[in-house]
Amino acid sequence: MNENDNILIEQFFREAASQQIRDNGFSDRVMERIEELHPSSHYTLLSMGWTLFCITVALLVFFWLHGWSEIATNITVMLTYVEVFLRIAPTALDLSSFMDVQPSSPVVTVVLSLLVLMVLSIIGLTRWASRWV
Amino acid sequence: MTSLSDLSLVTQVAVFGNRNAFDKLVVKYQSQVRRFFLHQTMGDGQLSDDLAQDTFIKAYVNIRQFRGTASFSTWLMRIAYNVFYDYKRKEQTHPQSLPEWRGDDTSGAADRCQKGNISPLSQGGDGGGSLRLDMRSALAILKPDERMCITLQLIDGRPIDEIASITGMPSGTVKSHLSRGKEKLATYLKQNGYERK
Repeated sequence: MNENDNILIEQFFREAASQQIRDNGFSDRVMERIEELHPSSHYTLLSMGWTLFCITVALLVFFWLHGWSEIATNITVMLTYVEVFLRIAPTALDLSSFMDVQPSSPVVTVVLSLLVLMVLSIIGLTRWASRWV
Repeated sequence: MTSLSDLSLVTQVAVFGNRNAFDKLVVKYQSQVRRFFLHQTMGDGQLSDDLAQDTFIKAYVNIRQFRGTASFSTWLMRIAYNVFYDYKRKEQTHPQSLPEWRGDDTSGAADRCQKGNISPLSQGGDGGGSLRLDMRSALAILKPDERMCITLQLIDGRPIDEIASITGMPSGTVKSHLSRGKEKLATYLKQNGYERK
């Protein structure tokens, strides 16, 4: 093999290297096949719809049970605890009062989490819908 | 810039299941993948399209396994290589359906191409031409691994380390295949009147 041989081979393959194969519907066939084999987009839509439904129900329950007043009360109590803690901590560290968790607190936490999930779900659904519009 | 755009499309597919993004990747790489198979199958357009379709489906299913350490193109060609060798393995277990070019590395392959036993490359939709027939004849004299390395380097323009990454061969083996393949090609071209004046 000498330099001339290399040039000869490179020239021979030059045209092949620059050739582009036209799509001619190939990519459409691939996407159709993927849709046949993995129709996950429908499941995704169903899943997101179900999530949205659950969150809407949770939101209705939240307003029906006056959840906002619970949140306001709990925030006030929490701020009071923080204030008390900051006042007494330098003199005597007694955390026993922090163990008195109100029964409604977990409910509020769950509702807040559901709110966050709802926002994320709406964002996701909007993105999904925008792809098909 | 290109790899960033690929990475963005891959992320959209992997995270949001965005099929439009995958469609863009298919459109972008279909020519490269189909051309790869056309050269390995000596111009069997239908088989090449089937194998290319399998490649893209596997890429879609395993898209979350793409780590971005290599380019998307290299990763895709690695899948294409595996699809081709899986196909070859299956064919070897059913030798009655083995095409004539398969596993035949030496004499006669070029003759069969010219006699028309192998469907023309133009069936793949890229137009016809006498040079392509000559190229198929030239590629037919090579062993499959030599053909693989030669086409990846001379047609796809990939460096040796990338060919090694795609084929899983050590770089030294790739170099050997390239060297032997080029020697055979040079001899073949000279014998067929391609020698430089």
